[in-house]
Amino acid sequence: MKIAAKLQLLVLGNALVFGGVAGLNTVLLAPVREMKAEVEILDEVQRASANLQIHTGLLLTSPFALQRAPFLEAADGYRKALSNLDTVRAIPRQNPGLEGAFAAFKTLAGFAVEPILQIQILRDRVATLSEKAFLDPSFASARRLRNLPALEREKLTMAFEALNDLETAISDLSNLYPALTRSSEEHRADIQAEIPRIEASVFAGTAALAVVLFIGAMLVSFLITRRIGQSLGSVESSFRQLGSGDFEAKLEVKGSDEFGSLEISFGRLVEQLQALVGLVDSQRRAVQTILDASDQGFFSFGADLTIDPEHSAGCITLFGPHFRQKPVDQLLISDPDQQKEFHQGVALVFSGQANPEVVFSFLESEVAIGNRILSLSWKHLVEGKILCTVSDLTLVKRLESLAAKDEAEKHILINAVTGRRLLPRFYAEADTILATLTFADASLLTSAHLKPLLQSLHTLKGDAGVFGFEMTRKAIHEIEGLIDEALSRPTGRVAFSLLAQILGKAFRTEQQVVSSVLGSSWAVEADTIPVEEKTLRSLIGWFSGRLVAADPGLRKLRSLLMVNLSQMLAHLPRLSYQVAGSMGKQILPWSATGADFSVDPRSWDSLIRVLPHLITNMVDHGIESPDQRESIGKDKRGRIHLEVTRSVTGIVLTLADDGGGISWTEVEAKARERGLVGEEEVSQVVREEWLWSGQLSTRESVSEYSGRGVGLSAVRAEVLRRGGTIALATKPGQGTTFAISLPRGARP
Amino acid sequence: MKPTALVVDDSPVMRMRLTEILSRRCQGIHEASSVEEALMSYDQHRPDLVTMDISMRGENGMGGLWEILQRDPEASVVMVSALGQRKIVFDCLAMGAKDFIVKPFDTERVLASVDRILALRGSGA
Repeated sequence: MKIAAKLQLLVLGNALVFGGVAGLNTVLLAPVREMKAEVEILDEVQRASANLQIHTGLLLTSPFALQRAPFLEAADGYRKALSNLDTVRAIPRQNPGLEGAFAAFKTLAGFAVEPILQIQILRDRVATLSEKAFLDPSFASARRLRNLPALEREKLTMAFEALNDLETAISDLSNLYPALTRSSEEHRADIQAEIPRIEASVFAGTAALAVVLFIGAMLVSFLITRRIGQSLGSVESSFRQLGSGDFEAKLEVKGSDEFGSLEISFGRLVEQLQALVGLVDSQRRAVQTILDASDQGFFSFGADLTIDPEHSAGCITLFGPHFRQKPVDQLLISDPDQQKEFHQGVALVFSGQANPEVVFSFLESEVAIGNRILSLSWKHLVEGKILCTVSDLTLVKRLESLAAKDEAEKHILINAVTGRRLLPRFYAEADTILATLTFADASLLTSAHLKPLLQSLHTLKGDAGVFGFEMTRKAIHEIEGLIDEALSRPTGRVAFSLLAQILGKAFRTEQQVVSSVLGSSWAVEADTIPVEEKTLRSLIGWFSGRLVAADPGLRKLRSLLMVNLSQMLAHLPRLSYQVAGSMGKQILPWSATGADFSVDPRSWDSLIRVLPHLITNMVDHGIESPDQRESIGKDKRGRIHLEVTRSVTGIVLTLADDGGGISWTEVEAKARERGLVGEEEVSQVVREEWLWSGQLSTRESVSEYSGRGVGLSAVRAEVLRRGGTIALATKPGQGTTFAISLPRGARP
Repeated sequence: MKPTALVVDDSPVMRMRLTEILSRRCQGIHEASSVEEALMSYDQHRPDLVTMDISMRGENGMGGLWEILQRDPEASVVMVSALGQRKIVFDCLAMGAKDFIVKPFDTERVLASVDRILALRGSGA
């Protein structure tokens, strides 16, 4: 091929590559755009949470003087911002570390939702009582209280309790804020740090791709330049010889290019040559510029392992200015044996004895040079060259380790929040063991003393795992190993102070993570001693055999096992919101009323476990879609209500919704379709029996939550087992009410 | 006609897996569980392609490679090994092995290797 034609091809190739790179950038930078959108969403969450914090604070200082609307608005804004978080997808694709951090953030942010709901509910409850009573300080004074009728007094007490709960919920929420803010800010910082990196790596990626496309072009231009250089050299020397009168001079020119046929005048030839060299040089500079623009290093080497002078500027940054002084094996590898193997491998490539890809799969792909971690990739070029592409992984690795640390801290925080109740015990046990180790002397080395220590160490290790105290867990593991090792030696000596140091350092560091975010009072448990339920029950059992049932001491002990029924029912509203949410329906905030009394959780557990069937049934079959509700003039949010009534004969649980009610015509049609009944008339009792027995579903399809009718029969079975009854009343368009009556002293 | 092959590996599972992959390109695939068996089978069938496990119980696949190349310098032998045996792999390639495939087998990678070697054979190279 003629040189001019080669150059034209080269120019064309470059133009194509440039065009391709521009297009590629648009595609590859798409994740960055998504991440920027995510930062905006995070900002929104943070703004919303700050706003909510202000209103929560106001609520705390003056719960009743404040209008409810601003707090509710702030809460809604927060929940809305949270729901936007679900649309974020950029991070998970980019970096697994960040994905974890993001998930942690979302979980933490979600924690605030429950206290908010509780506050709303409690506000509603308190509002139903006389607000005036609370606003008038003298009203609540002891004298006036005593003068109030019993019913009013009870109401007031309940209101005070509600107020207490409200304050607890608000302070819980306030406690969450620092963690939330910190987590959000960190996450935001993570992302913002990530964006330039991704942009850089996208650029480097496209540059690398461009370079791969360029390799051919670069090589061709490289070779042409070299050949032209050689040709020029010989032409020049021929000129010189001609000038000095040596007409015997022959032009030694390799190849069959224009130089091969020198039938044109010397003057024109020189001009043409200069133009060609100029063109080739500018091509070379263009290639060099592209190579230098990326942070990556590119260099090539031949069979003698010396590095060619054509390399990218990135090599200087990565290896230093004099890197070409060493052969490639010594530059990259320090171990002489490995150097030998490297040499053997590339020799197989250069000799054509082996498939280069096979050899390359065995060559070093990651090396540490100085304090950098470099990734290497290999490519066989024609003309006996191997191209090495070098990227700096140091930053990536550092970011990865930072992300891992962050992840670990988030894990600790989440566990400290969710497991707050058990945290003080964990801390206390760690402190006890630390003190034991610190003040231990040789006498501890007898197996009688050591065994309990090893046991409590082992328990502590488990606790550390539960709380995500990974460093502590590893430290304990190490300590156990050291003790075991010391015991295995005849003159076993354990440096207890060293063990205390190992454990102390890890534990204090991780403890610091908790206190720096949640405050040092997070794990403080004032004046409480944890007693296992089992212990308490056996204690009660022991007393029961010796004291009369009415003994005040025994009753006091029993009351320790009791929990407030409303607490046991507290998850039901959440369940209804969740089910409704999944069906695109809405439910007004609600909570059980009349359940504010103590019960033995054991005796209520099985009944409460079947209540969700009723709730999901109501949401699924009863409550209409928001559009439907609006079209018939109802609030678009459905209403559910659970009321507990106590009387001398027993307890009644009334669960009601304001949905569409049960259509008996539909029920009957379905039953006939199923062949449960022929053409004859049926009584209401029979119709209801179809529902209770779970023989039909009035819906066309079975939904995720209900529709098989199994739920209702499970509820009835449980109620009957307790010697109770269950009844349902329904009004088309107005809703359905279930009433569960349990006799007094019913079997648990 | 489809090319023939010989699979040499002391693990029946590995032989089965390789035979299964090779059957997409080859027919008349014989198996051998030792170098000795492999040499007998090679003399008998003269397969177009041999896969040879590098480390078999008590013996080295490199010896098998050498023996086969003694019989037929043009033999197409692909070495099979787990990763991390760079020195041996390079030695085998230097001795005259045509390629190397790594355990566990990636079907595409094995077939690519087979295709490349059979193409070389076909072109008389």
